[in-house]
Amino acid sequence: MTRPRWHYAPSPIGVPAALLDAFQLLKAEAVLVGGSAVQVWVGKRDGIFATGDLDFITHLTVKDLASVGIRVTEPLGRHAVVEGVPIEFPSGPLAVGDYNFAPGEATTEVPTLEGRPILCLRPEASVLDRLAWVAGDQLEVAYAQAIGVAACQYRQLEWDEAWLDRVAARANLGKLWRHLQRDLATGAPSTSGLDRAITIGWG
Amino acid sequence: MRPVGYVTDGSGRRVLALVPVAQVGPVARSRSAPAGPSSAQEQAALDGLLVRPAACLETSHQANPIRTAREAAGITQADLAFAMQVSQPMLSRQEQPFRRLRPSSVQRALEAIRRIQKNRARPAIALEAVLDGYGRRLAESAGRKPRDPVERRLLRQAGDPVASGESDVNVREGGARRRPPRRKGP
Repeated sequence: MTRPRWHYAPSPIGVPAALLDAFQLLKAEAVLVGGSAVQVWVGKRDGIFATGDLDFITHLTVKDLASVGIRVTEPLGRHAVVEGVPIEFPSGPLAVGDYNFAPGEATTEVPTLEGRPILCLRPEASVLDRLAWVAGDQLEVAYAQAIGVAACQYRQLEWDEAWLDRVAARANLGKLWRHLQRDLATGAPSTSGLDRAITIGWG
Repeated sequence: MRPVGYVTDGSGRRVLALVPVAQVGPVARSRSAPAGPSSAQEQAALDGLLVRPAACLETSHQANPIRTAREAAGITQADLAFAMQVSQPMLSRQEQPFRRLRPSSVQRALEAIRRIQKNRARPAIALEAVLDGYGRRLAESAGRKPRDPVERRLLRQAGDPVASGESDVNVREGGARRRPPRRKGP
């Protein structure tokens, strides 16, 4: 039997099966975002790519999960612990900076460790998500993560730089994205590129 | 120049000839097909019908722009179909010779081919070396990450090393998303 072909080159991620069942039962199109989406695209879980929780953008609340029989440890608004894994439902909509993504524009299916598909922020959008942290909080680690996602995915068939150019401009991240592009084009991003990235900000 | 014409076969029937008789060898001809004009009169009649196309319609095919571009770029049909998010049979149909293609379909395929070529030409980056080059700054900045206090507490309880190393000073109440500052009005 041939294995399903996934878009880009995702690494499977562990998601509690009970949570996936609940999403299915509640017809929730939950989208994996944040640091766990970065893990999917970089394929690393240690060092700067370590993250302890799973972030999903969805219309669901922790209360909804409890209503379908999920044993939720300590329900606290947007946070829950399911099968020992901290889960967060950040407030939506799916967006980066000032730009709200159209339905389906920024997502793609990726496999869980069990082989089930879940929606995940596509890598180009994941890069912009990290750049928003660079612009807003001047976090060097977020720039390194953006480099990581791009370096691991930008040679794939589906990587769409034209989409990135367009959306980055609308999200007020055009300057940072162009800087990252130039940094990547050198083939060896350097500390001077990191120094410059931290000073760019929005725009 | 007309690509087809009528000829009279051995039984006197008029048949539509797609290929000039002279270009088809005797082996390929069916028994009833004319071997040649039977008289000078017929030859004269055929002169107006049997035209001389620049190339045999059966052996030459009109180049399909998508297929030509794809093959020149060394991209498999499966890969291009995948990148265009269409099925391979659909792309195969689009790539057939004589296919009447919409300009937008050709444009879309050519853009996908250009994108694939560009992506394949990008330099491979040794990520570990890049991260090593950044040094301690990454870990230090990770400690500055602003986070919702509830989230931070849950992560610390779960033994998350990143959250454990974060400063409580940097807070992002309610997990609010990062947005550019509002511009002041006039």
